[in-house]
Amino acid sequence: MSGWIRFFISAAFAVCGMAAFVFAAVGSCRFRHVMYRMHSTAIADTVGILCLTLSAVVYLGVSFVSAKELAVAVMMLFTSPVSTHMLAEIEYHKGNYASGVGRGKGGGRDDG
Amino acid sequence: MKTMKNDIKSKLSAWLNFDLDLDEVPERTPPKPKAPHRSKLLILRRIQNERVHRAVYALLAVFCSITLAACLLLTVSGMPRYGEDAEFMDTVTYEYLAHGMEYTGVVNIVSGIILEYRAFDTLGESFVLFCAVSCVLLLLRRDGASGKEPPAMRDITGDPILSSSARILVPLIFVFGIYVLLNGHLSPGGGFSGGAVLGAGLIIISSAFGEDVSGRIITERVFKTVTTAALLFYCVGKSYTFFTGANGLPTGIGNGTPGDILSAGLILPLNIAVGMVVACTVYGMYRMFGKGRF
Amino acid sequence: MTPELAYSYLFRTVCLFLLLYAAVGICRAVRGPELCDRVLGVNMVSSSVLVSILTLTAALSEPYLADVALIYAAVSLVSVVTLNKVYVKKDRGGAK
Repeated sequence: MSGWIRFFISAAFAVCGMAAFVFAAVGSCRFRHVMYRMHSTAIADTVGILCLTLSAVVYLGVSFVSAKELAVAVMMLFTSPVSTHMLAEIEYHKGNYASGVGRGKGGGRDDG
Repeated sequence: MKTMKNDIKSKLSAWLNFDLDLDEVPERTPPKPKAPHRSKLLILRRIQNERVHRAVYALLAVFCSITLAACLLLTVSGMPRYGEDAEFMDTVTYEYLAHGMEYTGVVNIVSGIILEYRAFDTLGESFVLFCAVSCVLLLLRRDGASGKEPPAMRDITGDPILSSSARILVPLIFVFGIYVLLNGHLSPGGGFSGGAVLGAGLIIISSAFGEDVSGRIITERVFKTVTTAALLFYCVGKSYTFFTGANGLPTGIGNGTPGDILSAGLILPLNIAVGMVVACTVYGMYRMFGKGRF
Repeated sequence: MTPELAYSYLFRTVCLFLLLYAAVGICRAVRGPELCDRVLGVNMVSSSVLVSILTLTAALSEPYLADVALIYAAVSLVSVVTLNKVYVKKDRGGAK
């Protein structure tokens, strides 16, 4: 019975992680400005990776390998906001603002 | 009288190309040309005609290339045809897998093959990396005297987000790189992947903290010393084991028990040497393509 | 239906799903009109590959794949930071 409980916990985490990836994919397709698309993929990079890693960790139990997997997830939690910040800075310096306030090119660019 | 003396002095100065009188202000003196460097004088004296020089260089280049190509083609023509000796090659593979661990002492047989059975090929690969970064240095290096504006790579020293993240991440990346490097003979890893991670750590240092910090860690002199020393150590160590192996002598470097960190003979030091070369190559290419100097 | 079989189905579903996410990433890289859309596509593919490697360490019980995943995470950060350094031209502000 304990085998099944562990499986359902692992499956719950996996479903949460996959849902986060679904939101990120839908968001990256449907938004009209590049800044919004960028912030939407950050959901997958943080919450998605964390939940799927927890699902694998619950399967593996307490061991050295699960500690390494958690280390990978924590490292992605650290580095994915920095990546998003770097990308946003590229778009900012091109003048591609999301709100068009200031010296932007007027309301952001639509790509249709 | 004085003007006549000055006239004679100035004419003598012009003839000798040398300032005769230093305390009297001369009326007219020719500008003193800079003496060329001694090595340039020697070269200029040796090569009088540039066209002859170019023709000789071209002939030598063609001759050397044809000789090298002929040697390589002769060697290749002595190799067996495609599909021949298939059973023999199968026995070689079987020998690697069955007796590799007891012969080399490694648990990771790939490291055993690339650093023990086929160490010469790995030396060639390290030399290729060294040549690549030397060519990049030759072609893209920017002297201080050229005065041209370096390509627009912005200096993000002032970016606080990247700096704060890098302050925590860079030590961890370095520790992980060293772990992968030292684990070449126990688990998948080794010189090439560990060196790539170390190079990535150096790139993050250079991007996040600017040039003054990264200039304290690795300068051009450090780069040259490390690559040359690593390749020399690889050559000397492996030549020693080739020599003793060919003559049937014991090497004196024990194999240890497989699974220990200090086992497998020379594979751990060789992994470190290869990792240093790879890390310096990755970082050197990044700096050369970006800034033009170290 | 043993838990082992259920686990294998679960991990297979997760890996296939991540393949779909990578395909969406490639679509974004090909279609995106801006520069950052294409970099974002590469980021999505690399995240998907990272998580599938992590899932495979559990599914195949190979402990060394976690090291490979850590290398991928470091490399994805370095690539985005370097692209930012190349494409953004800003005042140096006196620093050399």
